Amino acid sequence: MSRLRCEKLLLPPLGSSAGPVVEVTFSLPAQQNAVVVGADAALCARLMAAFTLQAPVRGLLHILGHHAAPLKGADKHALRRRMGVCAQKIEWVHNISLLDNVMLPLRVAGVPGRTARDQAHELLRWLGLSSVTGLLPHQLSAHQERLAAVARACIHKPSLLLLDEPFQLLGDDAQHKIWHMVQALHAQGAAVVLFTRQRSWLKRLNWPTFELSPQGLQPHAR
Amino acid sequence: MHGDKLSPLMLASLWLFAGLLYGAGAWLWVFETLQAPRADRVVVSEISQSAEENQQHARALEDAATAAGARVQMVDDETLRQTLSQLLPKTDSLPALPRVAEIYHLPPDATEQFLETLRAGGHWHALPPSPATPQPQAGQHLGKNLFWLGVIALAAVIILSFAGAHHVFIHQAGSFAALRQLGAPPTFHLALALTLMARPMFAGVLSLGMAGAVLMTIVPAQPMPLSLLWVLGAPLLGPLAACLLTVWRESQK
Repeated sequence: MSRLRCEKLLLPPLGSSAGPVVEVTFSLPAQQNAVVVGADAALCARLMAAFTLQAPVRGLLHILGHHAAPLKGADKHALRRRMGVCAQKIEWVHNISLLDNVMLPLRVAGVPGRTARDQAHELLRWLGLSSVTGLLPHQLSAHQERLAAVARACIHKPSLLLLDEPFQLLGDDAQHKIWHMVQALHAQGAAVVLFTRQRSWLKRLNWPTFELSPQGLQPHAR
Repeated sequence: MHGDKLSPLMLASLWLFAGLLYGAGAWLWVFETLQAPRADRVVVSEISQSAEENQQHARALEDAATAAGARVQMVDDETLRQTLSQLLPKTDSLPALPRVAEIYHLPPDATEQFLETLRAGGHWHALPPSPATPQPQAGQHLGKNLFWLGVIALAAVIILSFAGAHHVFIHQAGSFAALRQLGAPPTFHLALALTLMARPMFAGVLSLGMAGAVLMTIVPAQPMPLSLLWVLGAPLLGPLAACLLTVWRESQK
């Protein structure tokens, strides 16, 4: 069964931005991951917003076996909890520390506070962020923020992981750790969709690749 | 509540001002009501076409009242209209606009004799004692007016604090978006909203709540818990309403 499937999904411009409405048809093969490449970052953000239910669903969208369009309230929240998201524009709860932010997905999932804190602390330590766990999000460097955002997306072991440029601004060591984390999640059954504008990554990933353009989402010939 | 819109200090000042207005007004209103003279009896006479007869009736009433050790005060037309509307179920049941007099300082032991005198005269009729509290006379509405000004000012505090809190939440849209992305239930949004409001609300309540509590405990205007809740709750109601509105909006997204 496909973890993520859409047919004639309309992507209207986000907010006050301009641009044509793009129609997308896509199916993530079972047991597989996918890479979405596209030069237009705004278009990638529109697709990401649709897949993460941040924008109104216009068209057919199936996520983790659920028809997403009619979902509302608690059902929508429950589906979001099964996803891990690292978008281009990283949103934080600004008045709590990095550690609290990273442990939030676990707390939302009902994990007891102490356990969630220990897990978040361990993950951040492994990523080399143990010295900044007490900082507020706006006090982080861009590199630390990106790394922590991926950690937050992965910590609750989501069934579907959507990452937009997760390796951006990261050094080799950090990229390696992220890559290790993503692979571990996939080995546990998660499906991963990676959005990137850096085609150099395609050589390192042997995943089905799709090209996102104003004409839609097409299989990409390597 | 946000710095560039409405500072907590300004809001707290307005709150203190409104609380003082409300408390002082309520106290004065009660004081005026207690001090307002209350008639021991109200008597009514049919009006005569003859002014001379009217004067005779009035003199007879004054004689009867004086004999009983009481004082008579004729009621003017405006007060008469108000009094009748309170005392009589159907004002238009009277054949013509009667003359009304209020009898003050009527000793209880002289009441029966006084009423008997009226009945014998045949012109004046005593109305049953009214449980209605007499209204303060013209010029005695200061307390009432201050009280209602205080109520309006407290309502303004609620509206302004709501606007301030709402502005803070809009400013923190990213935090709510982060929770939304994680699929957090409404309780998390509510917790975040309350956390964002905690500092100004706590500071306000702590610094001025004590003053408000002391003020209201000496005002016997209403049952104490209600007054205290109203005055102390005013600056909290706005942010709480903004919190609930934000949580509701987030739950729809």
